[in-house]
Amino acid sequence: MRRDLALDASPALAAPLRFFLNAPAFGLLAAALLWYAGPSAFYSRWSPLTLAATHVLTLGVFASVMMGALIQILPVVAGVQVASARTSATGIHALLTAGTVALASAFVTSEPELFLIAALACGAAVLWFVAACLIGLNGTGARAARAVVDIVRAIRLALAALTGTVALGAVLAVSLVHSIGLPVVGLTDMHLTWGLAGWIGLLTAGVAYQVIPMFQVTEPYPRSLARVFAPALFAAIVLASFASLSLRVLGSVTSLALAALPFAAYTVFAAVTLVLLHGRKRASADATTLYWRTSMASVIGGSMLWAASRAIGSPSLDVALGVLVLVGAIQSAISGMLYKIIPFLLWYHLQAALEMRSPLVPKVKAILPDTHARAQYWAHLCALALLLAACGLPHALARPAALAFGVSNAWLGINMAQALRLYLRVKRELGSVRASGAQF
Amino acid sequence: MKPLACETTLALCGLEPPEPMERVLAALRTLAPDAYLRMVIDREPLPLFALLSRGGFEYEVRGPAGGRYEIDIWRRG
Repeated sequence: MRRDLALDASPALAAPLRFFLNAPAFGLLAAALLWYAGPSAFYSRWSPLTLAATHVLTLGVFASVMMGALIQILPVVAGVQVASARTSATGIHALLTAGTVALASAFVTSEPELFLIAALACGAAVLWFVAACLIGLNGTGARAARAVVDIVRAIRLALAALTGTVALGAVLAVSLVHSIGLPVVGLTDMHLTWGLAGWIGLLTAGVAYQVIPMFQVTEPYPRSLARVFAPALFAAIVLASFASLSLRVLGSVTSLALAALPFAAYTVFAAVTLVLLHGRKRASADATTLYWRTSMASVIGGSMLWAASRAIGSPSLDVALGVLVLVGAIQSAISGMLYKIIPFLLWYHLQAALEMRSPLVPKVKAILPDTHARAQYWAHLCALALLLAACGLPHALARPAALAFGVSNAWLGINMAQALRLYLRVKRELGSVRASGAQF
Repeated sequence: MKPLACETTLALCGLEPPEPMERVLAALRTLAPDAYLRMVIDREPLPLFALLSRGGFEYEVRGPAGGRYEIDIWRRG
């Protein structure tokens, strides 16, 4: 039996790469906003500059990297081609980037028109992305996709959650411009639950089924967990959303129990992942292993912090919870994945330009050395610790934390730029050899 | 047409991607025209197939059997 995967059908390098390059750029912008806001960013999750920094991270860094990763991973893992990958990537990236900048500006300036522009741009980017993925999932890749049914199911549910997140975000943006009497707090809780636990969490879990055993050389996830987790979590999010809008009807205990369901589900997932990582078949932990461990530990820590904040009725812990979830859990997982995806992508596109293996093409591990990635990981961990400490001591630590966060993101950008520079140099050398008519 | 002789068998289970691809591509540089290379791997290496087609190779995939794929690769005639 022969499986065909036309080279021309693989996304061009620029398709996913443009999304990945957003990560350090918007990470730096988030750090700059935190620096500018100073201690006020850590007082409340409703502070305009905190909201601006949060959305720069969630849209500019997380959504951007995850969209780029999905455009790249779907063909490789599941044999699924995102519809018109090159055109879609260019359009979606432009809309998402513009929408992110507009939304951050809207929070900073409180200009109503900017909220509407942001809602339109981000909404269009997401609808285009979801449509392009669904066309691919329902089309030519169906045969290969059957072999990775758990991953594809999680991706489908994550796309549904993304659509819900942006729809809720658009409603909230409109409600900020026109007072239409909506329950803003309840809708905001729903918006962030669908965004973080739904879109980002489901996609991360779906990808983890594949990449943790593959790249970390662990045992596979238990089949029962991989089959049940995504649908069960999706149901938990639906129930938690119902709870956030129905507090008076359900009573506080029932509401709290329903709101706890996504945290409980992710705690189980994180515990299983940590056990798998503990039993990995390789002795040394690379930067991605460290990032995954930090991410999963942050998930468990975040769940405990959420339970503590509800038990003692202290909303002041909400900002610390946000730091732990956004920077500890999500940015850690995303950075860890970038350190695997980017070197592979650059190596693959160098190799694909040749008819034969060439000694000029460096090994994948030489394209972005693990020593560089590990050094950046420690900077990230330092920034995470300072951001958490700043929640308790905002006057003393807000700006040092913002500075450390900026350094960590700039370092990620430098590592990515060095890998890209190596790629361009080798590509030039290969071009020279080809032009001279010599053998590779 | 697939050659009759197997020149090398590469056991690539449990290796971190893309090391299996790197090893196969390195081995193919010296593959004789009248022989094939067999790779045994624990997942279907979809990205490799595009590189093989581009590089002038034919291939045959069997599996998964017992969680493993056997892929035979030879030079296009």
